[in-house]
Parts: sequence; structure tokens; C-alpha cells
Amino acid sequence: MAPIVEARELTKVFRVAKDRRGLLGAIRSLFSNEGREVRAVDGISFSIDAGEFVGYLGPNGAGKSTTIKMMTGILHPTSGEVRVEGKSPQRSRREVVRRLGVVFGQRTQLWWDLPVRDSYELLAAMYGIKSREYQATLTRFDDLLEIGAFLDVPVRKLSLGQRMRADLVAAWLHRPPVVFLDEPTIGLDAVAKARIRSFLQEINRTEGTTIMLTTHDMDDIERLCTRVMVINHGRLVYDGSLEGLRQAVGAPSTLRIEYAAPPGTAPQGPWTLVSWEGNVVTIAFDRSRCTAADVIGRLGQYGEIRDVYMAEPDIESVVEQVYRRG
Amino acid sequence: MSILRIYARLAVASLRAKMQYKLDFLVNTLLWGALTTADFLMLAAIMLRFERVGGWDIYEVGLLYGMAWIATGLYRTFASELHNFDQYVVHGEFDALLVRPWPTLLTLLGRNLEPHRLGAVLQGAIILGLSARHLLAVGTLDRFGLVYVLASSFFGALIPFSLSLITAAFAFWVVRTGDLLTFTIHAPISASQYPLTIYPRWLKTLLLSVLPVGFINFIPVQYLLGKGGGPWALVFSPAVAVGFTLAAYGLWRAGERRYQSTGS
Amino acid sequence: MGAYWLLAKKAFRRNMQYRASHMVNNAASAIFGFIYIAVWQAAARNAGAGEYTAAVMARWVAFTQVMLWLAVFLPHGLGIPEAVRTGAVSLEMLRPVDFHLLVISRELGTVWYNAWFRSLPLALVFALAVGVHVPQRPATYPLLACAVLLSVYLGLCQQYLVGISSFWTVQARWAWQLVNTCQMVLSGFMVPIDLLPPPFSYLARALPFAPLLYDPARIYLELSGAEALAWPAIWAVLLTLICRSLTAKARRRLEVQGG
Repeated sequence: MAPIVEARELTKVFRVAKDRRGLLGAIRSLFSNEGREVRAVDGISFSIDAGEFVGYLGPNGAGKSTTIKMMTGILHPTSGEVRVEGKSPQRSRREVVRRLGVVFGQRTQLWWDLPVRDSYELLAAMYGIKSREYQATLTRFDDLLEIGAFLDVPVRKLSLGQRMRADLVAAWLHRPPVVFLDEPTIGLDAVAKARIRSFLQEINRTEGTTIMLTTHDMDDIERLCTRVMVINHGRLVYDGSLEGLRQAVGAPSTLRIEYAAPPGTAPQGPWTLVSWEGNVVTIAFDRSRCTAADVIGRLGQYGEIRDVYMAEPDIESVVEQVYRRG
Repeated sequence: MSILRIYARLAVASLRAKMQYKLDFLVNTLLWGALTTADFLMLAAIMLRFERVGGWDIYEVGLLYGMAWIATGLYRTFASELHNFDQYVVHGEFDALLVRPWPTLLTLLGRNLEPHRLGAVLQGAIILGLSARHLLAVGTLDRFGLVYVLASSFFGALIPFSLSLITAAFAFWVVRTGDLLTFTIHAPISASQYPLTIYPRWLKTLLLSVLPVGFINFIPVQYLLGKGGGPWALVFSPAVAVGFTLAAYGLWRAGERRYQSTGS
Repeated sequence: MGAYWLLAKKAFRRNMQYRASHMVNNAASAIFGFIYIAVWQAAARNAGAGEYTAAVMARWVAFTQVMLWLAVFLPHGLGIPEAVRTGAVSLEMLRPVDFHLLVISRELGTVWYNAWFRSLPLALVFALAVGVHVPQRPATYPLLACAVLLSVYLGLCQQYLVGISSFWTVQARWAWQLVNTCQMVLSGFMVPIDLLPPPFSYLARALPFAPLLYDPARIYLELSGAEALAWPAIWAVLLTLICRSLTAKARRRLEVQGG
């Protein structure tokens, strides 16, 4: 089976002009070759099969957004090419974007002053969705995301979580086989995040939508993605399963235990003791060698545990680790 | 055809969004009305005092003025997003237009209509009507001329529209174009309210070539009132309007491609 | 005193960064000037309207185009609406300096910049194109200086009022558009106000917009003498009182509502 999304030697070089102010300055910089080149994306290749759920990770400025913009036809690559269902989003933009869904977490694509329903109707017209299909889709998404409650509320009055749900439905309205999500959980609370995650999981499973997701949230990746790609300084430094990433990194997770009473001796086990102050003990352990449940069980032998706090390595440090190794 | 249908849907949606702010609409109508009235007042002060400008009397100039304002009012009503387009490039909002399966210009124009600017069309139409009534009565203008003038006012809207489209397309290269509008729209439209013969040669040439506002009104009206030119003027003016629009759209497409290859 | 001077200097420097793009505005102003001059040349060719001959009007247009940058084309609301929106205004009002004086003196820096980088180049262009009127009477010079100072001050006060309106409304833009429209048509810009049709000519004489351009232009072209300063001076006092009383009200509002 041919891959549904493909990138071959994808490269994007930006020319950062010397900063000139004002209109005259801008005109002058048109004709000058001053400035330096920035390779935002540097020879990336990958292919995604239909139905895959891919997490795309990397620190800020690594080239994530630039990649997404090239995948969706917003930007032309400097060299290399993109294929979505075998077609180039650059050469046949309108044909390709008809089969894509896109969500940019930072800004809505809905009509700000209109009720959500009006936006959907406009999108239905733009994508030529038949009325019966549209109704069926809306009913189904109401089941999954409970958008019915605010369908008639203007977008500007929605909470961030509601707005993101509304935007997700908008991206799926025309049943695209491929969807790109750029930070869909940014700024949301835990409940809203959980709701969006279960929606994404469900839609990926039942509709077989191919999803490429960029995020800063390790939990998003952990709960959703079957495959992870890591980009840093414009290069793909990891492409494989999440398990593989963990093993490659072996970055320590941190566990802080509060005992009912100070333990008699320093807890010993397959971890390193970070600190021990009174009845609070902090340790670091490697998830690829033992599970959290195992660690907590063994720590329980040193006294009654009153509270547990666990911190996962943050994404920046994971990526940095991968980059250093890869 | 489906393009027109989509545009109509978008346009109606933008009007519905507008209707949520009725006070804004009311105040904007009044303020824009005050501005166009003020503009007319200056012309009236000069014409009432001197009766003639460059050999044209108040009714003849009224014809030019009315046509210029109908054309400009229509352009401002239907292409207001184009007028401030550079903001889309500055803030990277052009991306949102590129992910839709329609021409970007269509979705852009459908985003915002400013019906409060139709007041300018109305004012232009009233002044044109009063002027034409007098000119018909004294026999300077015939019925055919009147029909032509009306049609040409609407056709003429293509010229400020194209000028604006060109200015907007510049934003893909120089990003900020707010200052350029004065040259490409405001000054030429002001100039087109008077017979072009009064201007220095370089200015007249400019207004009939790079900034062809003379074809909105002056060129055809000059012939219709028997002040010069030939029947070619009646064919040439709409041809220039259409040709210029096509050229402007070509530049827009080139700009769009440039945006895609340089990024925001 | 030092604080006010420092703010004016800062405003001047801020503008200096953009002088290249301001040259584009200058060219646009010059084009508008040429259009209006051509209209007047064509209208007043045979017989001018009394003292307003074609030659006088060419200089009138040139002079008002130059003056626009000192009294009319000032920052909208003198930056007060943004300060209100961001909340920075409560800080500014708490400082132990007079707010009205603070804003006016800060923007004097902008006016000073405009004088050098907008008005002067424009004046040179027009001098080459239509010549310069050199006042004959020595008394004209001090009178003109007074008229220009009053014009700048009144222009700043009008923008200040636009700005202070943002304490009560989020749409200070509307106030600006209204004031700007009045400044265009009732100030003597392009058309001397006594040539406006009757109700407007009286209205224009009574309101504080004619002192911006009309009165200085008449003094410069020696069509009026010292008597032309009386009305601008009265308006300067009136607008000062209005500005200060509204500032006090705004301050109280800020103290009660906390911004």
C-alpha cells in the first residue's frame, strides 16, 4: 500500500533580511542580497501510512510549524517535495486541501462573531458537503465532543476548551482522510485535554483518519501516538515507536514520596536518591528498566506512603537527549 | 457559478456578523457620511464661487464627482479587506486562506463587507442625478450618455479595486503597504473628481497610465459632453478597467506564490 | 521641567527611527498639494474670489500642507487610548507630574520632529514649485510665530481630548474621526473658511478648527493682522480649561474604578 503522506528530502531555507525599518527599507532589502540563511527544515524524509497517528515533537523553533506549513501547501519547500495521496499540495493546492483538515491551536478558523453552527454551514458550502451527510456528521460529533450545547453561541463567547472542540469538528466536517493538528491542547486544563484526547483516539480508530500532531505535551504523545518523530535544528533525529524513544532516551522520571513518618533508613532500590528531608523522599528512576508501580511498591516497604508526586521528563529535555545520542 | 454562490454565502455571513454591532454600524454610517459630505463641501465651495474649473461648469464637474464616488464607494464596500490587506501578511493570517479549497481572493473578499460605505454611493448617485438632470435639460447630455454614465460608474469600481489589489499584492514583497495607499488610491481618486486637463502634464499622464483613474469618469465624460476625445473613449474605458483588473489579479497570483516560497 | 524635556526628546528620537518611511508620506503630501494647487489655478484663473487670487491660493495650499504636519497630522489621541487599553495610564497618572502637561510636552517632541523631517522638506518642494511668499511687514514675523504656536497647541489639545475620551468609551476611534473630519473641512485646509457656503462659514469661524490653519495662513499671507490672534488665544484658554477639567474627571474615575 502506498503511503498517504510522504515527504522527500524536504528542505526550507529562509533568508532573514538585515533589519531595515519602514517602507523604503523594505524596498531596499528587496534588491539586496544581504542577510543570512536559516535552514528551518533540512532534508527531512518520512512516509506515513493511512490510519497512523504520528506525534511530531521538537523544541520551539526546531522547524515543526514550517514542516506542517509545507505539508498543507501554505509554504513551498526550497527543495524536496511533499505528497499527500500522491499529489503535491503546492502544485494542486485546492485539490489537496479539499482532502485535508488543519487545526492551528493558537488561532481559530471559525467566524469570530457568528454562532458555531453558521461557521459549520459555511464550511459545508465551501467543501460541498451534502446536507444529509452534514447532519449525520454533526450528530456524530455531538456524541463525541458534546458541541450541541454551544452550537448557537458566537465563537467569541466560547471558552478556550469549547473553542478548540468547535475547531476540531470544523476540521473534520468534510471527513478528510488526513488531518494536521498544531498544538491542539495548548493552554487547556486537564479535563478539556482528556476530552480532546479521547475524541482523537476514537476518530482515528473508527474513521481511520491519518493524524499528524505537533505538541509540547508528553501526555498527548503517550496516550495517542503510535509513532513519534522528533525534529531538532531542522533535522529528523528520531522516527519510531514511543517505546523506542523511551529506550533511546532513558531519561529519568522523578518520584516524590511523602511518608506518614520519616523512614528509618534511606530507601534503596533500582533508582538514585535525589533528596531525603524528614518524611519527604525524592528519587529518580529509569522507566525503561522498571515501572512506576514497581518503584512505588518497593518504596512502600520503608513506611506508610501518604502522598505521591511524579514528574515525567519534559519534552525539551527528551528531545535534547535524543539529539545528543542520535 | 459555484464561485459566486460561495462568495454570496460568505458575504451574507459577514453581514450577519456585522449586525451584532448595530451601534457600530450606525456611528460608522454617520461618520463616513460626514466625511464624504465634508469632501463634497470643499468642491461645492470652489464651484459655487468660481462657476467653472478648467472650462467645466458645476454640473459637468458634478458628473465626474458622482461617478468617482459611486466607483469608490462600491470598492470600499466590497473590498474593504483588500484595503487593509497588509495586516494579513504581518500577522501570518494569510495561512488560513490558503488551507481552503477556493481562490484566496474570493475567501478574502467574502470575509468583510462594509455596507455603511454605501452612503458614499448614495451621495455620489444624488450628485450625479442632479447634475445629469440639468445637463439633459440644457441638451449637453443625451439619454444614451446618461445610461453610459450610470453603467460606467459601476464598471469604474474595477479601477480602484485593481489599484487596491496591486497595492495589496505589494504586501507580499514589502509587507507593510499602509503608506502606499495614499499614492495608489487616495490621491488619484481625489484628483479624478476634477477634469484632468487642469493638472500638469506629468500628473495627467500618471492618472491615465499607471494609476488609470481617468478612465473611471474623465475620458468617457469628456467625449459625451463634447469636450474632446472620440467615440473610442466609450469602448476604451471599460476595456482598460477589465484589462487592468486582469493584470492586477496576475500580480496578486504572483505575490501569493512568493508568499508561499518565502513564508511569513 | 527636566522630565517634560526628557519625554519630548524621547518622542523625537522614536520618530527619527522611521524617517525613511516618513519620506514616503512627504511625497504623498506633496502630490496632494499639487492636485489642490492645480484645482485652484484652474478655478481662480480669470478672477479670484476677492483677495484669494490664483497666486495667493497656490501659496495658501502650500502653507496649509506644511502646517498640517504641525497641528493636524499628530498621533491619534496622543497615544492615550493605547495607554488606557494596556492599563499603563494609571501608572502615568500616578507620577508626580501634571498629566496634561506631560502628554502635551511629550508630543511636542513629535511636532519638533515633524517640523524638521516633514514640514521643512515639503516647504522646500513647494518653494521650488510655486515660489515662497516672503512677508513684507516686519510685524508679520512675530505674529506668525504666535499663530503657529497657538495652532500647534490647539491641535495637540484637540488630540488630547480625543485621547481622554478613551476613559469613557472603547471607541476613541470615533472621536478621532469626528475631530479629523472637522479639522479637514472647517480649518481652512484647501478652502479658506470664508469661501464655504453660509451656514458652514459661520460654524467654521466659531469652532476651534480655523485657528489651526486658516488664521496662521492669513497672517502669513498678510491678509490679516494681530486681530486674527484674538480668537485662537481665547480658544487656547477654553481648551486648556476643558482639557484640565476632563483630566481631573478621568483621574477620579481611575481612582474609583481602578482603571
